[in-house]
Amino acid sequence: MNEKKKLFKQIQIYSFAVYEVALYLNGHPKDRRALEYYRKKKEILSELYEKYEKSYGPLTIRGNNCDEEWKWTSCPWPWEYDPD
Amino acid sequence: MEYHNYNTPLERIDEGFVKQILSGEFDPACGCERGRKEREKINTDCGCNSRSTSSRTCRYNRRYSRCGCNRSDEHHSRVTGREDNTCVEYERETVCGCGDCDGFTPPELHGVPHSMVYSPHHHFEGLYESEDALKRGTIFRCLDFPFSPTACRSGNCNNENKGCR
Repeated sequence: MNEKKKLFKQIQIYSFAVYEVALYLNGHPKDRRALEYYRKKKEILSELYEKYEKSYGPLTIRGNNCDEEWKWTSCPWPWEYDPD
Repeated sequence: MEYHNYNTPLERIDEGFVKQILSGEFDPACGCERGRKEREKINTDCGCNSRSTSSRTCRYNRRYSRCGCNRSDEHHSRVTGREDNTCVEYERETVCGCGDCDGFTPPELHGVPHSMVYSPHHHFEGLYESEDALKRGTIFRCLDFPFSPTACRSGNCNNENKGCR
């Protein structure tokens, strides 16, 4: 697995964790442990997003970090990602 | 929102109503006149009127085959004509048995919130590592159950040893 795929996998992993704890927090909005878990995972996820998008282009429409060129349309579409 | 002020359905709806349901005194029949007559007919035929919950006994016991009124199987056969001797002689889809009204929304339940359920309190513990969580489809060990249309056969479907309550 190359670096790009490893990074993408990490994003999937932490995205899932953030979604899961978000669902839990919907029903337990004051759970300190869950809030801390959410904060940590979201922080890691943000770093991963930034790292990935800086090297390989935007993952979402909000991820275009380049002022000189709009890269969203030139990046692979979801169905163009290699499943491996 | 308003319902955030309530922790349980008991706090939201009338306590007496809940007690009525839990005690078995609540009659979920539709209340329509024809339904009432049908129920009376069933009750009379069945002979369960000696019990306060007679109408419920008659209608509900089609699940359990016997009405529990302690009358003989012969009595039930005669009344119902059914091979399994059940007290209920009508296979109605509506609760009240009249077949005309929407017996699934009896008047007594109007205004009561739909789909309110009890669930054990979920504690934030017994977490998977993030990578394992993605593989398992949940971050919570206690929510990691096999999706199976049948009862658990592996013997590994309870929360023991999963590190969660």
